Amino acid sequence: MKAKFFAVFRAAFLMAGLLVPLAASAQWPPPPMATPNDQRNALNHMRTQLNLFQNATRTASNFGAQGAGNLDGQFQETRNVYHGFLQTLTPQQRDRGANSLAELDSGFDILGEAFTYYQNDLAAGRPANAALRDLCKLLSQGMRMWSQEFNKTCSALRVGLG
Amino acid sequence: MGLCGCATTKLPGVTEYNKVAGEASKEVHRALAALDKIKAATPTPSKRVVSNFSDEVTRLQVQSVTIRARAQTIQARGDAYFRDWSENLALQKDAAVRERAEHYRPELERTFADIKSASSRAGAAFRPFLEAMVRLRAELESKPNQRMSLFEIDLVRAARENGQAVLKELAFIQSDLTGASAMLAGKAAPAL
Repeated sequence: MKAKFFAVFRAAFLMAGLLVPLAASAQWPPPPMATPNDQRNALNHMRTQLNLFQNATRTASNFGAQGAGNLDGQFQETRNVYHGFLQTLTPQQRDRGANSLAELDSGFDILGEAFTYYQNDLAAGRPANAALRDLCKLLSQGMRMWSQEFNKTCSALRVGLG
Repeated sequence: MGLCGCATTKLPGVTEYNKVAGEASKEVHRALAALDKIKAATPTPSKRVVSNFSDEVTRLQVQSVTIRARAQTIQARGDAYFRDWSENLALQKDAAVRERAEHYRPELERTFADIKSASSRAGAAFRPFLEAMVRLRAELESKPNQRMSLFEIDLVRAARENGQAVLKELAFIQSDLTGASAMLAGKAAPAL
């Protein structure tokens, strides 16, 4: 019984050994390197999203209590689009711009803290309209600064220029 | 969120961080001045004083994004952050700068380590400073034209102390960066 169990076990082990290379070869090939055109498209997408975000900061107060939620949604979307943009950079661009790209990431983290401050403001009894007004102002101006740095970084890294 | 490795700057990274730290220092001074106006208006700051203070807090939140992002990145990237500076110095067109960067390498590395520590301390002090400022604004706006509570007075004190700590660290950073610039420009002997 014991010998039979080990025989089955050994057979399963061998099968697994045979299947591993097959499984490995069935993996997706590495994604193709993004072209300068891909980078330009990603850059345009990012700029469009940054404009949408600025619009959201202008209109948030029209949506009352939902305004902050809408802004948060646009903020997350902007971050997602930025991460998509990063995927189009070449390893050389990522390496050369490592510091500035890391700072742009940190900038997002810091701007994101504005939502925590907003929630804390409400919890501390600050009038909701004043808290939302400041949230919009902070995000609008902060994201404008972020955009300037983003543009500077893209120029220095010659994004989309090949 | 400044850019390191800019080919047009004579001392990439060093000059730019000095500027960012200087601007941050001005903003903290400005915020502390607004805080002093609240303190001077104790026990019942007027609506106008509170409104001005509120605007200054928002301004501080916006204007400090760059320096906070810088401090956070230096922490996250550690020595790799300054390796980038060193590599850029080694690529300088000015042979004399390249030579001095090589000659003063140990001193520069020590300076970069000091800047890293001061940036970390500045970031650590900035958070409670901003938190106290933001909380004080919320407290003052939620109870307009009322006597300041002990809690609010304590927030004023905490904000002031942390703001001073931020200024101290920013001054350290600026002093180190100025020293590094002078060293690379051949204007001063390194402090050993």
